[in-house]
Amino acid sequence: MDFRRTILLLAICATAIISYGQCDSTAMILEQYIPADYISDGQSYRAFLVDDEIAEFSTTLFAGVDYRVAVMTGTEVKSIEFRLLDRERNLLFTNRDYDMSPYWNFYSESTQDCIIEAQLDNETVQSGCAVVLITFDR
Amino acid sequence: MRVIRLLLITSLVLQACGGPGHEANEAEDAMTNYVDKEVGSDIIMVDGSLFSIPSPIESAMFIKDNSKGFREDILLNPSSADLFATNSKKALALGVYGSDLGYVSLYEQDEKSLSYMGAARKLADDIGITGAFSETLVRRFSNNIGKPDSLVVLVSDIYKAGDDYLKSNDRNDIAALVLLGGWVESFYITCLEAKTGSAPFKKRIAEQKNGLMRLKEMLDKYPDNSAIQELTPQIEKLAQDFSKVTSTYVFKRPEVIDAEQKTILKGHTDHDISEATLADIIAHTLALRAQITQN
Repeated sequence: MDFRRTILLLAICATAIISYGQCDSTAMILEQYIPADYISDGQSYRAFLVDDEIAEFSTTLFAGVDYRVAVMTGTEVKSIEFRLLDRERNLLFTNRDYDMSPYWNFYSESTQDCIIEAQLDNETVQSGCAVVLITFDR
Repeated sequence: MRVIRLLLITSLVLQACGGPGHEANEAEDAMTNYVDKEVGSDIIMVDGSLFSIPSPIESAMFIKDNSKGFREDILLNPSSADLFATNSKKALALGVYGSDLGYVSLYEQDEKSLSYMGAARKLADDIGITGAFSETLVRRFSNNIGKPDSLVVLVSDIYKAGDDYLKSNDRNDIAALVLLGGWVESFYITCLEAKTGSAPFKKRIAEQKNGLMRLKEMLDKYPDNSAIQELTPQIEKLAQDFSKVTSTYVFKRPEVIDAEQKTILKGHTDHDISEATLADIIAHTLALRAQITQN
């Protein structure tokens, strides 16, 4: 391996380490918005977003359970929009209506299959690691 | 912007590498996935997709709230932890023990909680996610024995740490197997409760239709994993059973309580499941669980 290729590989390594670090830092900051008695769903939702890309996944909110969903990118809050849609893609919630709050609580009267979307606010950030936490109360 | 994209592509390439020992073709796959995504819609696809699998702890809470009592006989014996040979089998069993750990903790079965913690920790060590079961977390678990609310928070944190670790290290197939094991175990307990004729459990089974579909979609991302290949026929049977479960949804405008930063979802879903379909789902779930817990 010649010198230039070694340098290129090191540059790539550095970029990846920074990206990993960013995700971990974001996740740690986001944890502070989760009350101590809330329980994680046990999963890690992370996605690198660029421009107006949307990270989307389906989830089930069970009846009678208090949920808190927290979403963040980078180390500054209010840089990411998150939306909750029902199975027919009706908009149920967007944090854009609430000053881009990094978390929101949900309670469903009936078990519902929903879609969670996260999208960077391109006025403040162009790319980043989006971290989503889904938690529920005992 | 081109610079940002280039940096992002290179970082994705290296994430696919994930550190020492990874093959260059995995990096090429990551690049291809990223390029494919760019050609397609704005919905991002990182290593396939993000999947939300119903939490075994959430299921255990439902089971405790609706069942007649603790049933030790239906759980996987923690002493069997030594018998699972391959990493895939161990990952599945780790999911099963995690679910059982949540279940016994909620019922304040203190000694059993420690046994299940020991079994889960052993398997986590074996498959290389010791970090999730750090000394500190295990000590906190021991210190909180007798406090079920604290224990289930800790169990969930431990499993999330494991999920984080596996996904960050490009071991998504192993993470998927842990999730599968946990989901099957909690669903298996739900099925056994439903067998007694309990209406809440029958409803709960019907409500898991999309959870199972998401699980299947997630497993389909790893067609080369032999453990997933072996389980696929049984999962397919279950998916076919669930395809007969129908539901109707009526949208209603949500209500917002600003002071609590809370949205109350008012929409209503009704599920329809026949007794025959319910019986098939239970039978196929028991068979799948038997296959997963076979050494």
